[in-house]
Amino acid sequence: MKKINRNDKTNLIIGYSISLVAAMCYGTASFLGKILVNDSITPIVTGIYAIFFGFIVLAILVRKEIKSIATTGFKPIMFMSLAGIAGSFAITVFFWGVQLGSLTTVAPLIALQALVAMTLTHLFLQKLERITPRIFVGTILVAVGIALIIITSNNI
Amino acid sequence: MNIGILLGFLAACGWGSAVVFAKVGLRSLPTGAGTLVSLWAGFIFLTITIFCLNQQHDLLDVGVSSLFLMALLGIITYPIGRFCNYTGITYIGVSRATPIVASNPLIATVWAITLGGEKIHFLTGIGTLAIIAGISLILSESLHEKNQPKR
Repeated sequence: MKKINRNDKTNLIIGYSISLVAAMCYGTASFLGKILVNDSITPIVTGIYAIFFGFIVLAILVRKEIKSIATTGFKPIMFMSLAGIAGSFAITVFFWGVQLGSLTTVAPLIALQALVAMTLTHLFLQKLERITPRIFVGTILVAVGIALIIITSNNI
Repeated sequence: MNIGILLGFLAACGWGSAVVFAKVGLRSLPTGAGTLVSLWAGFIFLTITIFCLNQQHDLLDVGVSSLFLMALLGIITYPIGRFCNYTGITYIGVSRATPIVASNPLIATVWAITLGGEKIHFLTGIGTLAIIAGISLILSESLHEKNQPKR
């Protein structure tokens, strides 16, 4: 077994901590989102305003990095745009699904996102990342856990 | 197949593919700038969608308190949440970061129980244990794994 060096260990600690902060933010946002939906505001309207305010604040915070967008090539911008479009597409079809179907059948499927990401990583990012059996089993456990929590929160 | 299930699956594919696209894009773009580009593209997409659905009048039918909540939601989700999500991906990769970020319904449940006064369900407890076990497995992998993600 190869020991990981201190630099890698620091990266791992930073990466895991930051991902946890992201999870806390998204979880808090879901809670706030429920309050807004109860106020009968459509999810797309919420999405547009939320992205608008988020964009303004982030643009102020990372204003020094904005120059790099102009100097970087087309490919990274295209991939980041696709990331943004895919996220917004997901929000749109999710709430469309909830309207046409029911929250109880559609919401638990969110749990599949981690498995989709893992599958796509395995298919397209093999040179950058390797999916090990532990990561595979861990992701499935997380997906099952998320599905159970969503199912019970929707009172099936 | 139930159309709702199909759309739910498409949503999962959208969220799952977004992080993979981001991983590729962030290889040569700083995280802040990358997040900004993704927000801009997402904003354009949603704006086009709302016009296609002919629901643009809903944009003006929003009260001040709701606007404040949406601003708060936007700041928590994007400059903090998405930025941290993408930073995590650059540090530990998609396969490790995504399950941790995806466990966010657990956080929402904690808020719903502590602030919303909801009661904990037996299956919620099982789900929580499954998430903790899954994340522990992924974390333990990092201590054993020979191939660290390349940045």
